[in-house]
Amino acid sequence: MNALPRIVIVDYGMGNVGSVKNAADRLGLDTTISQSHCDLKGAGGFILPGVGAFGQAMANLRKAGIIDLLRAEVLTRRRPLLGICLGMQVLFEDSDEMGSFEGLGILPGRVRRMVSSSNERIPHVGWNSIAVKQPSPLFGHNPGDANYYFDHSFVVHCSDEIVTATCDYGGGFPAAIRCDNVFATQFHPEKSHIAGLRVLRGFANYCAEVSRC
Amino acid sequence: MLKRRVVAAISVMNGLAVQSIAFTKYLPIGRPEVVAEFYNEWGADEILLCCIDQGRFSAGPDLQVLEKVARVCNVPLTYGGGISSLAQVRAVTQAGADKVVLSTAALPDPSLVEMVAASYGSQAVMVSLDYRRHDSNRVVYGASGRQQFRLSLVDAARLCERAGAGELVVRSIDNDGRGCGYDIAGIREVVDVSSVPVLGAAGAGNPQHILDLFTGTQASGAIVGNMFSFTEHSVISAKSICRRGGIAIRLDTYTNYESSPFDSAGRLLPKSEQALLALRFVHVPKEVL
Repeated sequence: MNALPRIVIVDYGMGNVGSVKNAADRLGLDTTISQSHCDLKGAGGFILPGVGAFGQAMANLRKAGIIDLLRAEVLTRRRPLLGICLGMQVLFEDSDEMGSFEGLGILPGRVRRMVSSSNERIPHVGWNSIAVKQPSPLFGHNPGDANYYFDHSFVVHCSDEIVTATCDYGGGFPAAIRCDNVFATQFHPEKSHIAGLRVLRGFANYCAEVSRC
Repeated sequence: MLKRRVVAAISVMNGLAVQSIAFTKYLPIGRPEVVAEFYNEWGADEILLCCIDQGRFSAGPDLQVLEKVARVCNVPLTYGGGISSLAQVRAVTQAGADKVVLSTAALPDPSLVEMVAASYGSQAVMVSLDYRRHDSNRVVYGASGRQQFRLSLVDAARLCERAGAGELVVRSIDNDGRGCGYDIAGIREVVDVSSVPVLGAAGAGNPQHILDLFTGTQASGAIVGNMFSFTEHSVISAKSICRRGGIAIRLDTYTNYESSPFDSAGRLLPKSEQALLALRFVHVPKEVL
């Protein structure tokens, strides 16, 4: 049996990689914060965090020179990847946040501003529950009414096929998606207390399983 | 459904967590990271770490304290105190804060708010509106109440929201540390003119005060300082009382006091003899995450 694989927390200058590492440390996972090609190629899985704006995120990823490598690792070598918040949004084709920007295009879909009803404030910030639509290694250990921490103004528009869970704020949006080895959550598992730690454990277990094959 | 938030505030002076009374008197509690660890375990929805030393504004953020606190937080951490530049915001977010809260540097000219919102997104920047009541007016102050801005609470709120603040904190200096309840009218003033989340701060002495804030206004969150540092599981008790008062709130900790009686001051009452006897043989396996 392999030891737990090393998960790389992709550092592209956006998002609090420290929080993700803290959460991973609490779970006893083997992780490293990096953007080096060497580390990325040897990874047993990736976590792509993200806080801030889409355009800046893509510019930073381009500047770090890791886009092609990430796409190859994820699409060709099928390494597990978990995108968080903005890290989920950049996986898609484009966003109109503060301009018009192309994403990584790893998944089909777009990112658009959340549309809120009269008594719903934007950004969507705080603890909210989700409705899990498909079984997933990420949510197996959480009760159905668990709360997760959200903090965003933009949401993903994509096919229901890849939607693992929805949240009903702003008319409803994907709270978590999965396509094969690519997972992502709009909420922050590293900031969602015990429920979030269980989600991260679920991803880590998936990485371990996959690395044995 | 989006829940209301109960935010645990930790005020730090010269590296020590303190209780604050009207921004003038400070009583020591202990090491900030130990306080944070308890609030984190007790299910605080967020932790608000403010370094309020005199001279903090010119000294810059206290990154040492922030790093220690960040290590024990599994919930969002907001840092405030000594931030006056974008470079400092960068240092603070790298040290472990998810959001920053600006006060002195946000007014009267909110350009820093604009810059932070542009670089990090509105969701990363909160503005704290600290104010005193002068007759029927509410006037905003900076520098922990030492610098008066010529701005009413409502005007300051509008200005900061327009500049890109993602959330607003409404803090009554007069109510700070008195434990007599929030200035509900003041908080409501801002809630009514804002389209961003508004959190009330200052004055909670009893879980009922938090419940009153949530039933009396559309405030997205209640920030609680001194009150949480008096008793074990204080955060859990407060949330349990809010929940039974009909408020949508997160209560995901294993201990949730859902069927426990509280007295009128929000203190846990002893369980019945029968219940205590039955507890002797209940096995609670520790969850390994």
